[in-house]
Amino acid sequence: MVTTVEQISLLISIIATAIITFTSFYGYLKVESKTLLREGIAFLIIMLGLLSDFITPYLGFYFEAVGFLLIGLEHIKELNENLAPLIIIPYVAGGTIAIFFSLYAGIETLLYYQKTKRLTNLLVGTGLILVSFSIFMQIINYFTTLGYIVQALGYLIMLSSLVR
Amino acid sequence: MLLTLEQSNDGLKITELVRRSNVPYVRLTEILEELEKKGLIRQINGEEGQVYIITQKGIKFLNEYRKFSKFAEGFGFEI
Repeated sequence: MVTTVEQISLLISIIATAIITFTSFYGYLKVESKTLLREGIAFLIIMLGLLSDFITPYLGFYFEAVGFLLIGLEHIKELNENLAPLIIIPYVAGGTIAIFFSLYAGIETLLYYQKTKRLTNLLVGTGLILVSFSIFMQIINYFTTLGYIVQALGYLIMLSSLVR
Repeated sequence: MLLTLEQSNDGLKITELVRRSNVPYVRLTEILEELEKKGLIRQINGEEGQVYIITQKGIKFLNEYRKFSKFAEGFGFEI
């Protein structure tokens, strides 16, 4: 923790997740919904992760990963019960890495644009972020066609920087 | 089931519940037994014989269910 603003922001996040956790567990006790129980467990793990940030910075990411995985699995369960947890599918694991690096490269390029104010940096950065977004859409198999369109658009924008 | 009973003031016979819920008779009997055991519904002698009605506890449960259903829907879940 570096600044007071960060500490206050973290505290707000902890309070918000604590309220969601409590409401989910309370709802489970009242209406016996297992969905609410799983939601409560997921947010409890996320809240513990946020709390751990006070002790060891970045440790919370591991908790948040598990918590959001549980929430993601709950969504998968509702969409298609036969679908395996996405993260264990090799192409999804590969796609997740591709998302991370394309997004990272995109953000870095846009930060570089702030320094240079060159249109090419803006175009490449935007293109990379669009590609990252398109990989995500393809992974979740939900907007596959739109995902390919966004991907083409991303690469076209990157290409336009060369044409200039 | 509770929603159907909530909408009926005079209660409903089991045959009417089968028709409205589209649940097989045997399965429906099990559900009704469970709900009765939990005190959410009860049987009374109506004008047309034995009918099921929702109890105050059942109405309270439904209200809680609606509240938490809305909460879960906010996260994209169905309870």
